[in-house]
Amino acid sequence: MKKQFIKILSLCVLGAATIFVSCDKDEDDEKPEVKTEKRVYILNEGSWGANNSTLDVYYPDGENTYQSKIFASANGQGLGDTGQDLLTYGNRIYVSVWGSNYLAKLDQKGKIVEKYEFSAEEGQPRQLAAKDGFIYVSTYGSKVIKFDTAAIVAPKGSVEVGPHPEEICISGNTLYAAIAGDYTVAYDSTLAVVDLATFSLKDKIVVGLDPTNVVALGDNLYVIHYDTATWAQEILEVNTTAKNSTVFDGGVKMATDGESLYYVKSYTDYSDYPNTKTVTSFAKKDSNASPLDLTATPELSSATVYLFVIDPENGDFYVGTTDYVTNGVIYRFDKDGKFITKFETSGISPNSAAFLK
Amino acid sequence: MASALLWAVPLFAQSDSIIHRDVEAVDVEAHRQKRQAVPMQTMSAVEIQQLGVQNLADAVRRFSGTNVKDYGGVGGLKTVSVRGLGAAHTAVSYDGVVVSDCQAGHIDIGRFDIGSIETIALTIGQPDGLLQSASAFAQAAMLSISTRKPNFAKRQTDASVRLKGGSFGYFDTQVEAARKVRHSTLSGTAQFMRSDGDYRYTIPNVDTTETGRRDNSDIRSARAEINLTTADSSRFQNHLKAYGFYSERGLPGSVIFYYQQANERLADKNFFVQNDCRLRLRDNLIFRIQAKYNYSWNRYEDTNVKYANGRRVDLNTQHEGYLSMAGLWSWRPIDVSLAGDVIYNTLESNMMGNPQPRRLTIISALNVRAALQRFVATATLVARHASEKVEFGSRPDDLKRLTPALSLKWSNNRVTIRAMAKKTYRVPTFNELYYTTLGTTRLKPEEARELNVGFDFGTGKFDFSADFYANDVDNKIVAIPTLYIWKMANYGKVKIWGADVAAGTEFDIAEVRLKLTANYSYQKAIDVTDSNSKLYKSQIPYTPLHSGKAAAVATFGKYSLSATSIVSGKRYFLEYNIPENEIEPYTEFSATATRRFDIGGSQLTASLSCLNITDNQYSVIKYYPMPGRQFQLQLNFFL
Repeated sequence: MKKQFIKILSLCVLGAATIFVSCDKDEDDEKPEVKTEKRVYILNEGSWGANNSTLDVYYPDGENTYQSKIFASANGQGLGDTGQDLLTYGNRIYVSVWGSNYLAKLDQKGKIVEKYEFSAEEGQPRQLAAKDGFIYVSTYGSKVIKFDTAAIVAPKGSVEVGPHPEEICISGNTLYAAIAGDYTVAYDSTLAVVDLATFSLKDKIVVGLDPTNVVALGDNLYVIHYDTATWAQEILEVNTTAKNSTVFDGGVKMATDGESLYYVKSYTDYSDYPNTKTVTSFAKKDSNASPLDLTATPELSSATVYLFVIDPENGDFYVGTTDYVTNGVIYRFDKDGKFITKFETSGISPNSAAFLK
Repeated sequence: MASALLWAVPLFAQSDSIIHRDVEAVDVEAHRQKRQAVPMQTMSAVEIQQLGVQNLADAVRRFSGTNVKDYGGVGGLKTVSVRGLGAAHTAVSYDGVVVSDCQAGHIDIGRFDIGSIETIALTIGQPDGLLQSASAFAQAAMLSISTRKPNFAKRQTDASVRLKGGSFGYFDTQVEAARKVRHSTLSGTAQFMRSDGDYRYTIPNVDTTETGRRDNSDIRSARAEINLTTADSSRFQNHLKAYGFYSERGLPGSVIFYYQQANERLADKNFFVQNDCRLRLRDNLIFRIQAKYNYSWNRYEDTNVKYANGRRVDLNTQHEGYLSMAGLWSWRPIDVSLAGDVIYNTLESNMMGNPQPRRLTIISALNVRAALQRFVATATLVARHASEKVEFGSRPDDLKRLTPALSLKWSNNRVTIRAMAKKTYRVPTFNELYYTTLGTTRLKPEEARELNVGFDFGTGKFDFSADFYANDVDNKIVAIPTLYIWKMANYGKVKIWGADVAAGTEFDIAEVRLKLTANYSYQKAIDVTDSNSKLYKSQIPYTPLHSGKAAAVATFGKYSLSATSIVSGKRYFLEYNIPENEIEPYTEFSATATRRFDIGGSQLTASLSCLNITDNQYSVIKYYPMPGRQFQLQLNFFL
């Protein structure tokens, strides 16, 4: 008697339940090989907490121009959460993944060769720089940590630079780190100066509140910082010998081809908030003309630029945009600023690109 | 007279039982779920035990049209959103008085103890009773929780003990005692709960799976309540309650692949004292006065090398003073009620840039109801005025809004046909206005409009109801990025339409009573903010198109056996409706067996539950996995 009722009960419940459960979607098993022609690797940050960071590859010279999610194809698992920075060095790809807290050395197909997981004391990794066989990583443990590219499984040293170091750059035998500061307490406003020979903190240069980006060009450094009162960003030109800085223009992203500084300017009009209007333009230092011709891509003049990279070989510009929700779009221009093509990436917020030949 | 009083009966009748003794037995008990002008669903203590319902969120997710966001585990945040409107549009009341949190906006319903609940009721749109606070009329939906009342049928003292234990270090005990002295009842409750919450999870990751145990997911909480109820004939009824709550928990965070650093801790303290008084001055005039003082405090702590000194500590304290007066006049066939609430809220916080806001809100509600034989029409007008003061910086403009509601109902013995239209809005929360860099004081209220038509059919042995609705949300408050800075804005527009269908039947086979219930919900909730956006007409995150629940309970003598299932279709966890952003559909099965023992004049019930029988690895919120299979044993002893 009792058994019969259990049977009836479970049948009723099961019946009602199965109505809504749809079949699983089929997996696509096609995983094309990464080719050996010239490549541009593109890192999509994804959205925080969603483990949806991806790595793509673009072939600027070939026919089959784009391959999505090569890290997932090569490793059978995803990059993880919040891919932060990407660079290529000595035929290897290095990627720092902030949320998932690791630095990985990848082969050209995106397969992990070596991986280093940061300790709680070291803090989660941010930006990368490379020189003379070493990779340098800024971490939220107030450090810049050094790795030998031959084996990244253990660090080769670390130096305290200050709270929340962001972008790092190397000029000669000196590394500079933008120190943004812990926003929950107080913003910082310095550049940390690290001597690479001794790998020690040599100096601090006061620049401006909340510095996030730094690039070196000639004898000067260029730093982007936030004006925390208005949340507008501006570019400072830093003289490293005189240790002073001057504002030369507004700007949100910078890139250099080794000769000139190119930058993205974006201004937002908040007067009718939340109906904001953002105007984005591109500029070259000491030049009045726009370096990029936006007639074919008028949407860029109101876009949020998340990636701005120059191909060191041929001077092509790569401009990546984000809306933080849908997949990013990359625009490619040649060195004279003529629009070549645009394509969608496999993830949200493409933030870095690196080249290999 | 009877009809006037009938309409005055609130959704859950206990606290009205003295004044409305004459109507309670006939109307409220028999038609608690039915014959309302608005959709209403309830669950009783008996059903809670028979179905093995684990917590309040688990109860509410069994109602149709609800969307419970559950971050998993005993300590995980649980909020309820009704028909796509967002959690801040649902008011929660505890023993008749509205609970608020001006900082977060939504109420964590995981905090309320399921074991002391006598009835849970969810009404969508207008509350059906007219003698309510103005706050109750100002919301799009209302979840009413009423705690168990002592039973003095046998003696002047009542007591009960509850013990619960289960998987993942879960233990819960509660003691209740009550004493009746003439017209008054004094009762006290003390409860302690703990859980390790270290359940295993499996999450797919491309061709592999990530497995692990939830870390830093433990919780301890303690609660005490004292109630003094006084009822003098049918003219006066008073309920005084003091409530204290403390909890300390870990926040496990979302599962981040390859790295789990979960060090966030949250401690909560909540104390309130409230009084709910009803006075019948004349046969056709009743007054209700509610007063409350609420203190809530929380401490969030995170340990990470990224913070100065390696630690971040946020401290938030809120105070609330609340006074509500309502009067109900009856001149058959017209009833009129007028309610006025004055609410004062403050927030003190150590977070950077918090201007220590204070808010004064005045809400008035006027209701007119006409009952003509089988036809009842109710019109409501709610006026709200809110004004804020800050220590520094800007403050929002004063708010003055008038919102109407109308409901119509026709019913006979078996059928009720209903229609309801209501406009409400929610005031921006303190976090939305003042949170460091994210908040903005330029926010306007978020508006919600509800339309519902539906019917009930009931014979006692078989019940069926169907409701069809169309809602929209305008000036939705969301965080939007401008370049690289995220700020709150009135940006979104959402259109929602759907259907909730429920059926139930109860019959006997030999000595066994069988009760079967099932409901199905269809909900289309689309983003219509910007027709040029890729997101235009996308289904909003965490909203399944199809969902349903089914339950079967068999009772025979001292035994009862139940089986339940909850089914949810696919959802998206991000705004962009692409396959990568989908969350898989899930089905959860649970079963509970209960046996009652009569020991002298006392009673012991023992329940054994197996929850998530199939060990389905699913999540409601992406990367916040829900527990797999778990067992729970519950013993209730009633003196």
